Amino acid sequence: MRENIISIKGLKVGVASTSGYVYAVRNINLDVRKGEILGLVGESGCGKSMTAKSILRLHDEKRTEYQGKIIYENGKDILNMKEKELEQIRGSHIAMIFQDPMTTLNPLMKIGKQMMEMFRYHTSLSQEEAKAKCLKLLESVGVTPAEDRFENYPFQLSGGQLQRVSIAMELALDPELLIADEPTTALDVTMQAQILDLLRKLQKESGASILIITHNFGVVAEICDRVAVMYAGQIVETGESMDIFYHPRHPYTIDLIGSIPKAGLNGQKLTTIPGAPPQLNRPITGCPYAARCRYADEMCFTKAPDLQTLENGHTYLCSKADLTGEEAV
Amino acid sequence: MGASKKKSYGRFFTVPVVISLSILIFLLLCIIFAPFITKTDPNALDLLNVLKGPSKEHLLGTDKTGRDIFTRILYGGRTSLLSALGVVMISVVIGIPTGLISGYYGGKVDMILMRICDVVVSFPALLLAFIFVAAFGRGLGNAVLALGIVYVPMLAKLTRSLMLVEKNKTYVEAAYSIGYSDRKIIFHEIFPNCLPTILVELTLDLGYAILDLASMSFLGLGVQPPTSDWGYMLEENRAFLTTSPLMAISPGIVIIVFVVCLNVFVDGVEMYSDPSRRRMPSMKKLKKRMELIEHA
Repeated sequence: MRENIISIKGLKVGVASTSGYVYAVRNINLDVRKGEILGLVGESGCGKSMTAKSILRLHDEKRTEYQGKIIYENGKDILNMKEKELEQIRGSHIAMIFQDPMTTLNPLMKIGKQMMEMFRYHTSLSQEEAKAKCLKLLESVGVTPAEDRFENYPFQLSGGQLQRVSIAMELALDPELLIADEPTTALDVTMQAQILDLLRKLQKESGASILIITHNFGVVAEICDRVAVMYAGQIVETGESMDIFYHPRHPYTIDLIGSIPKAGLNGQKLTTIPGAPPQLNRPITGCPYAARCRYADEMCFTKAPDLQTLENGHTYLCSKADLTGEEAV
Repeated sequence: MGASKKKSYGRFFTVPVVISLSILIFLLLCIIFAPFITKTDPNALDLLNVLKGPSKEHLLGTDKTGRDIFTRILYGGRTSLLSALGVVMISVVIGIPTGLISGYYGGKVDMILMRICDVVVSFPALLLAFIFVAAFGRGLGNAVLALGIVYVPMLAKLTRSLMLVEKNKTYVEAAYSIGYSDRKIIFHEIFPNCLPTILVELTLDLGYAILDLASMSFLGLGVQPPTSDWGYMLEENRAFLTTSPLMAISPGIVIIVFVVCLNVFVDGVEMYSDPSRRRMPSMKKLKKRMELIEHA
């Protein structure tokens, strides 16, 4: 097995509310291995972004409570690091791409200047070396002519181009892990495919790991090596992406894959998952998915499910060990 | 085509900017080179020629002690502008960092800094000036210091509210994720985005400072006679508005011209500082350029 770049152990993230902490992330165990593209999938509000931002500790520390550990490659716990140490890691070792490219760049600074700043801040490259590197990066992400774009302000570029620029910026310092928080959500479908191709290409070249957060199984099928499915702040299933796609085990994953529109289903209604995720401000007894699950029985409502592991590393959180989702696919 | 020159985006020198800037420069040059423009001593008394109207020797007439108004306006610009600038500088140096830090960190820091500001705000400006004068003696310097401190809370609170808006934007989070330190994020990423609004506030402050200093001088706290000063001239000559109006009106007009031009100029700077609002060449010019490209 490949080494882990980040290993999340028992992570709980609580957000302050008037009635106490709301645990949006509850007891997550997740490893990101070297050189893989890991997809973190789930519906809105299931805690995907909370988990991802915790890796860089981007939450407002006055309103957030962390429990558990996030072990970085060097064996240190990110949640216990000093601010100075963290600044060394942010950007140079772990970088992050955000959802809306229109707002991630400083609106008053030329694109070139923003990229140069990164080099000036983190490395000792000379002005010319840094500029040459920036131009090369812009070219490699397909923002051309690089010389012209270098002198542009963010508002002069389209969303797709901006997302490319921010990818270029995040890759500038050769990070070992790139966290992409719904990188294609704000873009149209053709742009999505291009950005995903770009990510895949750059990942092959640099050998970095990518943690991609998405609510779109299509994205997973396209580029991910492994997938982790999240529901109500927990990871309910992990495994190789093709394995999960064709042999889902957890009922939520089964339903999620079942509700993807497929070609050749003329005149049929789209399958949906009834109900809503549970409230996160009180403890959940039993399986959080039980209320919406079509396989659930009484035991599911009272007893928390155990983690099942198959021999190929496929794990899932369900008391029903014999479920196979073949019929959903 | 001559594209080798690095072209900046948009135009800074729009018509209003050019006009206001040239008037400002003209005024400043007049003030700086006052001794070459007029040979008269601004403080020379001439009790035989009191309250005279405009004449060849006295372009704008004389005041109640026979001093030349024109000369006094030229020299008064030095005191007025320098002291008003001093007031604004003091408020900038203290107020902006206070506002930025208070808005960025929030919590206890914010609480303490803002309560201090509230105390200063609730203290009458003149009373503060009196205290300063009592403690450090009379003089323009102390009046400037006192007024500067009075201006701090306004600027700090404005900066703080701008910071509160900016700090939740994604580019700040992105800057965080790149690994920038707090100091870099506050002063290099967020501050430039607050600057346009702050600049406008500062130019308004400069106008207010001239007049506030004048009222302090009127009470004997600021400019000490016989030094001339625009605001003070306005105050002391007001009594003669019916008999020789030029005495009070002329420094008034100079103040108006200066403040208006400064505002127009800063509006131009503000517009330029946001690249998406910069003035582009006129449609006519652009059309011509397009035609040139098509023909080539």
